[in-house]
Amino acid sequence: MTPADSPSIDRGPRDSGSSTASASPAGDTTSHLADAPADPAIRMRAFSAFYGDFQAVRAIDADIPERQVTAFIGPSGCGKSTLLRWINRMNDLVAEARAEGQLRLHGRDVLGKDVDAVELRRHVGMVFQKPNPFPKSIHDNVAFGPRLHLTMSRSDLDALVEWSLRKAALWDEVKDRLRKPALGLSGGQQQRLCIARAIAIEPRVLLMDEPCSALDPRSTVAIEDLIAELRRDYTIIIVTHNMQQAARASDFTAFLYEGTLVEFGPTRAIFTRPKEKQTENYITGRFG
Amino acid sequence: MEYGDARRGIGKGPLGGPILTKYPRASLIERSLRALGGRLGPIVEASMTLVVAVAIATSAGCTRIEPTATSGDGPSTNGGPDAGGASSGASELLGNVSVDGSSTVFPFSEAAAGDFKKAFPNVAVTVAVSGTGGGFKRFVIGETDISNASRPITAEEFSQCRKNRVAFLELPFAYDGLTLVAHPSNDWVDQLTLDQLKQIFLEGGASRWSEVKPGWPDTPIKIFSPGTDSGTYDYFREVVVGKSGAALRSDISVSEDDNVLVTGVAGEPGAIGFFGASYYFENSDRVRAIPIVNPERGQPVAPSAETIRSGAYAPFGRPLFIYVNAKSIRRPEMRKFVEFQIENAGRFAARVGYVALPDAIYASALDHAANRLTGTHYIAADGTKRSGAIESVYVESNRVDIEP
Amino acid sequence: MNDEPHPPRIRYAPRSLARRRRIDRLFVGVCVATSAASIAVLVALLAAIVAQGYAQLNWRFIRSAPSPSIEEAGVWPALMGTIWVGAICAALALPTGVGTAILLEEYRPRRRWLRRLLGFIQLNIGNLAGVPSVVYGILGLTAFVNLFGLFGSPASPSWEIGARHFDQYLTEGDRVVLVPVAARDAPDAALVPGAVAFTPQGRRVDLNVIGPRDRLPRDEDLLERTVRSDSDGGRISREAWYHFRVPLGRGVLAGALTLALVTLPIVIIASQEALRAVPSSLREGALGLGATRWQVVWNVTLPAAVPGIMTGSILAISRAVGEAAPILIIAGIVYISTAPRHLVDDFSVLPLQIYNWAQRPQPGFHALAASGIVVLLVILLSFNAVAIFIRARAQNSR
Repeated sequence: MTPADSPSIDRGPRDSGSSTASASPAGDTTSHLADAPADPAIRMRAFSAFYGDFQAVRAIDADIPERQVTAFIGPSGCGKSTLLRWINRMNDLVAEARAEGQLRLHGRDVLGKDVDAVELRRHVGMVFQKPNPFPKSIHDNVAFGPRLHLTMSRSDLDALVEWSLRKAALWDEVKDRLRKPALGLSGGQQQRLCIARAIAIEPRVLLMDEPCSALDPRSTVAIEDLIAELRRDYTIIIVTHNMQQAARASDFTAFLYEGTLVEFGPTRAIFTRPKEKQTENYITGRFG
Repeated sequence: MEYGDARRGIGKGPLGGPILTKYPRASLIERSLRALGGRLGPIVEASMTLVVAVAIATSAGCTRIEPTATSGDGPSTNGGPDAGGASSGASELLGNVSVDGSSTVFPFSEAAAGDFKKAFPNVAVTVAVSGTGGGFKRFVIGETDISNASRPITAEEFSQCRKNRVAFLELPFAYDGLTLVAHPSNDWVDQLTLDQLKQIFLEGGASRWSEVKPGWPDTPIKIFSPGTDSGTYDYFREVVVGKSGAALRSDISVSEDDNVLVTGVAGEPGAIGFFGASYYFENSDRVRAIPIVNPERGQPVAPSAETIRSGAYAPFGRPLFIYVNAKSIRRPEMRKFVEFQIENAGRFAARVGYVALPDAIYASALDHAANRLTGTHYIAADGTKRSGAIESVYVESNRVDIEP
Repeated sequence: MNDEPHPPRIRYAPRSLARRRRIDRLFVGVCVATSAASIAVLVALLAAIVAQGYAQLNWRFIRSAPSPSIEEAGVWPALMGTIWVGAICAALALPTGVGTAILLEEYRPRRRWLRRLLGFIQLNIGNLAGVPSVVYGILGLTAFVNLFGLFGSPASPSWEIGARHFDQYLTEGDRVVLVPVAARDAPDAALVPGAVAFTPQGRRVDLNVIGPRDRLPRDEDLLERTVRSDSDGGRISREAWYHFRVPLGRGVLAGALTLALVTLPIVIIASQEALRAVPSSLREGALGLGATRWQVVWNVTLPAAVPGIMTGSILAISRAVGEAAPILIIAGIVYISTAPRHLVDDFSVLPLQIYNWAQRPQPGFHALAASGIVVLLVILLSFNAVAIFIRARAQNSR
C-alpha cells in the first residue's frame, strides 16, 4: 500500500454543494483577480472581520485556488490568522467576533447563520501553531476525527489510521507504538501527528496556522516536505511569518497589511517582481 | 411468597367500616422490586458489612476484631430484662414509636428504648431531642407518639392540643432536683434564699456577691444557665420569677449543653449556675451544690436523692413526665412501650441519675395508661396553673381533659 | 546613527551573595517549621483520639446500637446512616455539580444577556459556597423534609409506594396478628370472622373473633388466634426497601439532598477550576476536527479534567460527611436503633452520635465519642482513598 493510496472506505455521499464549484461571482472583479483560477476553492468578496468595534480584516476580495498551497504572509496583527480562522468558523468561539461580506467554500456559504460549523469543519481541517495532540494514544489521536463522524469496524479504523499516518509520513516512526501516549513524541512528530489527525477525516481544505513556528529546523523541513506531498490532494492554506517558507512551500502568496489585502498572486511573481511598494519593502525585510 | 396472592375484595363490616376480605394484589412493579429486594438484600447487607469491616480492619489492623452474629441489627435479643410478658409471642410486635422532647429526659428514654429493643426487636423506637417546648410543638399536631417533658404542659400547649383534638396521657416517671451550683472555692455562700436568688438572677439585681449579702467578697457574679428552650430554664424562671413574666438578666452565659455549664461554673470563682440534679451528681467533684432555704421550713436543704424524694428540697424538686398521644397508645406496641417505661421507671431513673417517684404514683400512672385517663392535672379548668407536690396534684379530681 | 541614545550611567554596589544565601536558607527553614507544626498538631490530635478511643474499638462497638450503658453502646445505625447519606450525597452532587460547571465553562453563549445571566449564576455560586452549612439545614427542612407543605405532612404523605399497612392486634393468647388495610389513613378494619389476617412472618391466620363479653376458649391454639371484636388495633406500616413518599420527611434522602446543597457550590467551583486548567488548544483541536461541543466535552475536556474534579469534589463530600450542623436541623439528635432500611427512613450520622456522646457528663461516653471519631476518620479516609484511586486511574490512562 503506498502512502497516497486511500483505503476504499465508503463514507457516504459527499454533500452536493461541494461537488461543483459553480456560481460565477456577481460582483466586480478587481485587477489582481484577473489571472486567478476560474474554479476557486474559496472565494471571498468584500470580506470584513471584526472583534467588537475593531475591524481586523478590511473588505478582502480573493479566490484561493483548489489543490494548491496558498501562503498568507504579513506582519503580526495584519489579520491573516483572523482570516484563516473564519474559513472554518473557529472564530465562533470568540464572543465578540463577527464578519461581513461573502466567504464561500466550493460555492457554499460559510458565514451564514444557518451554516452548521460542525459540518463545515469536517471538510476543513486545521493544524495549529503549537502541536496539540490529545492526551490519548497515538492511535486514538488519529482515530478521534473518524470516530466523531462515522461508525466503522475496528479493522477499517485501523486501516484508516495507518493510511493517515503514512500520508503524514509518520507511520514508520510510530507503527510499533500506536498504543503509546502521543505526548511522548517529539515536537515535530507531534505536529505531523496533528496533520495525520486532520487528514483522517479527508477534508478538502487544510488550514495551517504557523505550523512550524514551534519546531526546530529539521522538523520544519519534514513538515514542508509533507506540505509539498499533500498539495496533490488538498487545498492548503498556510499562515507563516517565515518568508523563506512561503517562497519554498507555496504556489500562491497573499500579502496582508493592517487588515488589507495588499497583493495576491503566484508566489514566484510576488517574490521576484512585486507590484506594490509595500510588498517589496516587506519581503526584502525593510519592515515587519 | 409473603402475604399471599389473594385477589382484592372489599366487604362491609358489621360496624360499617370497609374491610378487606382479600389482600390487594401488588402491582407488577412492586412485586418485582420486592423480589429484587429479597434477592439483593442479603447480598447488599453482607457486602456493606464486609466493606466496613475491611476498612476498619485495615486502618486499625491491630485492634481486636471479634466477629459475632453478623445478621440483624444491634445487640442480640437474648437476656433481655423483664418486659411485661415479653417472652411470649408478643415479642413479635412490629412498628415504630417516635419520641421527642426534653434533653433532660433523653437519657431516660434512651435507656428505656435500648432495653425495650431487647424484648421487642422489631419495634423501632426513635428518640429525638428538641427541648420540652420543641417536643410539644410536634406533639400538639400529632406528629410524635410521646413527648418528653421536664415540666408540666403549659396552658398554651394544652389549648393547642384541644384545638387539634390531640388527646393525651400525662405520666410522671421520676423526680429531678434543679440544682444551683457554685465554684468549689466559693466558701462564702453556705445557703441561698429565694429572695437572694431573685437578687442574683433578675435584671437590675446584684452584680457582685457583696451586694447580695454584706460580708461576702467583692467578686463579680458570673451566671451560667441552660437555654431558653429547655424545660429546666422554664422551671427555674417559674420558681424564681413567678407569674410576672419578667426575664432573667441578659448578661448570663447560656448553653443547651449542660457539660458547658459545668465547665463554665468550674472555671470561675465567682460563678453560679443551675441544671438538673443528675448532672450535679455526675460532677459533684467539680462544682459545689448550694443548699436552698426551704420557704416553708426556713431551713437550708442540699439536693440529694432523699431530700428530693421527701420533698424537703423545695421549691426546686420537680417531676419529669412523658406525654403520650392517646390515639397512639391504642397500638399494641405503643402500649407495651409505655407500660415498659413506667414499670421500669424507678430502675431507669436510678441508672441515669434521677430520683424514683413513690410507688403509689407509678401505680396511678399505670392506671392512667391502662384506662386511658386522658388530660392534664396541672392546669385547672379555668386555665390557671396548678403546682405543688406531685402527690397532691396528680390526683383524679384534678384531671382536666381536652374535651370540656 | 548619531542619535543612538547613550546607556544611562548607573551606580551600583554588588549584593552580598552570602546574605542572599542566608535569606534563602532562612526561608526554607520557615517553610519546614510551619509544615512541621501543622503535621505535629495533626499527629497529636490523632494520637490523643486513638489513645482515648482505642480501648472500645472492637467489632461489637461497630455492630451495636447506641445505649445508655457504656459497655453496650455502639455506632452501627449512625455508621450506616453516614455511609448512606455520603453515598447518596455524592451520587446527587457530583453529576449536578460537574454538569453545571460544564455549562458555565464549556457552553459560553454568544448572546450578551445570556452571558450576563451565567455571570449572575456564577456570582451566586461563589456566594453560596460561603454560606454557613447550618443555613442549608434550615432550607432543607422546609424544602425537602416538608416540601414547602404542598404535599401534606410527612406523617400523612400525599403519595407513597412500597409500604403495606396493617392493623396490628394482640390476640387473647398474646400473639401478634396483622389485618391488612388499604391505606395509611384508611378507617380501621372491623373485626369480623373471616377477615384476612397474617402472622408477622406472613402466614395466614384464621381469626376467631368473639364478642366483648364472650368466654375465652380453653384450647391454646384457638386462644392464640382469638380476638375480641372491640379490641384495639394499631396502624403500622411495613416498609419495603424501595419505600418512598412525598414529602420526604426527616429521612436519609432529605439529609443527603441537604448535604448535596452544601457540597454543590464547592463541587461546581472545583470542577470549573479543573475544566479551566485544560488547555484551550485541546478544545480547538477537537473543534477543528468537527466535534460538537458535547463531543469536545465528553472526549477531550472532561477526561483531562477528571483528576482535578475528583480531588476537589471528594474532598468537598468528605467534608460534608463530617458536617453535624445541617443534619442536626434535618434529623435532630436521635436515639435510633437500626440502620436505614430505605430512602426515607429515619437516620442519624456519626458526627451527631459523637456530639451526643461528647456532651454527656460521664467520662466513659467521652471515650466512646473518641472511638466514634476514629470510625468517622476511617470512613473519610476511605472516601479520600477512592478519590486518589480514581485520580490515579485517570492519570494513568493518558
